[in-house]
Amino acid sequence: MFEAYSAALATLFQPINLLIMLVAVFVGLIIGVIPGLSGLVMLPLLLPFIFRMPADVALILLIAFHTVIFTGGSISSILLNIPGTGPNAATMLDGFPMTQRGEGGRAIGAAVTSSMAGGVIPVFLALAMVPLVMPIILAFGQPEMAILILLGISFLAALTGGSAIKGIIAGMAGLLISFIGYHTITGVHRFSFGSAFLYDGIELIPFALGLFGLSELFYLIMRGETTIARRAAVKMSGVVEGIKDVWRQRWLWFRSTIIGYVIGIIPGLGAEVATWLCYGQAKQTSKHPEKFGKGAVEGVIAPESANNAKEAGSLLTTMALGIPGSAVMALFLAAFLMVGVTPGPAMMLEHLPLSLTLLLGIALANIVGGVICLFAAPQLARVASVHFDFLFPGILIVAMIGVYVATLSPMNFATVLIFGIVGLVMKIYGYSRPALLLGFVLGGLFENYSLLSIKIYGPLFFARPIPLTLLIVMALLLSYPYLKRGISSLRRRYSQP
Amino acid sequence: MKLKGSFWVALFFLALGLFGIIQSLTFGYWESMVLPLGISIIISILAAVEVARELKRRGDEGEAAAAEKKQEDGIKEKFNARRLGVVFGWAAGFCLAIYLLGFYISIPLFAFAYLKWRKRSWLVAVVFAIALLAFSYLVFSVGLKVPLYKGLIFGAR
Repeated sequence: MFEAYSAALATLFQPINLLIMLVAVFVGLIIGVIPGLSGLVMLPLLLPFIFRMPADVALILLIAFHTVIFTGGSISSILLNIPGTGPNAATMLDGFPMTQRGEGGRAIGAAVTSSMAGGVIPVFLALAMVPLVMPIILAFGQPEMAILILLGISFLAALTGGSAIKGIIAGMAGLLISFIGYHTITGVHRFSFGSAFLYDGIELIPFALGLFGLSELFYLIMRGETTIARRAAVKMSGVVEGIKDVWRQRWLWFRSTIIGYVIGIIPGLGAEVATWLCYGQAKQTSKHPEKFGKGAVEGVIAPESANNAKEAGSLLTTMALGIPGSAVMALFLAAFLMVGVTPGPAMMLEHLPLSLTLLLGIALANIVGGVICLFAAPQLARVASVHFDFLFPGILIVAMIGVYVATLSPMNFATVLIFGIVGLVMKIYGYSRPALLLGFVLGGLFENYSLLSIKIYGPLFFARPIPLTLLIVMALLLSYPYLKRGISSLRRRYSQP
Repeated sequence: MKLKGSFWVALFFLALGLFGIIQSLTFGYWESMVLPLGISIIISILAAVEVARELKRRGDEGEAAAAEKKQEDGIKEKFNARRLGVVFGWAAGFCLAIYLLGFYISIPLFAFAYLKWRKRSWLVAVVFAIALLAFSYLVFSVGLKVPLYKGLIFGAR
């Protein structure tokens, strides 16, 4: 084992690999900052270039590139109120109000530090806890996964938007939209109205770009905003303050990192679940939950710790079991095969040094990316001061190119426009957009897990210890505001003389 | 009793749920039907609750009605249909231009037209349009080797 660690470190610190990592980190940060250009859009574009590369160089390039995308994405969430990537959406809720208050630097300092530290620690957890995590992964069968997805949607429904009922409606609508198109099990075309465009369902990138990116642009212009943030001046002192905030909130950071890591390990749950779950627990455990959504630094630290923490766990599951932990990890699975490495238990035996190199690569890329971000924060912050006259066409053009690059179909522009309006209406009337997105993203998985569970265990598939526990947590979560209101009302009634 | 936006949004979700139920029943196989049907029923029930709550609020008098009016005023302030129409028109126009003319013509055309509409100087509009075109070409076509859509008129790929 020691030899494998030594070999992994030696490989990682080869000059060519360090150079490749530096370039990949830099490009990854820029891609992360640009709204709409997520890893899911850009990673497939890199795959054709890695064919002739040695396996270690190719995979270090991909892992370094992907690792820092969330770190870069936090900058657009904080300064532009547009998530650079989907998992950065939770950061917007408090990051952008901080920018509007003139604390953009502090928010960036907190986001980057928690991302950096949150990305490094789980790597060592992953390296140390391989024998311990296997039983957890194996304990989650189809019924557990199906209920876990519902729990993720319920968290979003309860914690974002106007009310729990509106949130559940949004989450369920997301699930319903995900069913559009060809049903692989039966071959039935659902909700496609005979349109060939809808046979493959709604694409994720235009859906998410419309729901968040375009609707935010519409909202800002509709309200007559001339610039996105009038007080976007970012000072290094603010960045330093943000770093200190992470230390002050170190237990929150630690909890979020661990939650992110554990969610990363569980296959199929994306970074969205990790970030929103951590945002929710940060709000629920805070002494001043009323400040969340108005610029609480804890609302930045929790999701940013989680989204980077998830990657080590996600990669571990992909490598060790051959099960991609997320959509991006599915692309990594393809990349492994392209360079001649078959993921799964055999990888940990036959390519152990390479597996360790990639895990250590996540740690190093997080450190390099974090340092670059911290020093470049004042420059990056200028994006928020650019007049909206220039940002609107700039963002719209990059978004539409991103949609085309991701889908190769100009018809998807209509999808962006439609969901831009849907997102705007939902934002104004208090329906949770993140719940809609999560329902949509996890709808396919939810259906597969549920149908398999029904076939294997019958209609009462959830009557097992873990799903029942998760259902009880879900019921408590959704009924909590009503229970709280009822208890307060009873207290008032009986305290009156 | 005038019905406001929040009522219509809830009604839309109710219609979506009912439509989902009706459609789901036509899917034939239980595997295709069970989840869309179940989820549509949940949406319908919850949306019906929202619609009923909206109607009840309209009927309320006094303090609750005043609070509701305040909230509606806030929404009205946020929702400026004219401005939304204008910005949606620009976005939709840009998408249509890409579809017909492709990216390389639409990008400078849209950037230039938008900046002139915003009363920017000719020089700023031209420089910005060229800069965006150059950025798109260098990053995507040269750097990433992604051929951008050429448009219906100029021979789409």
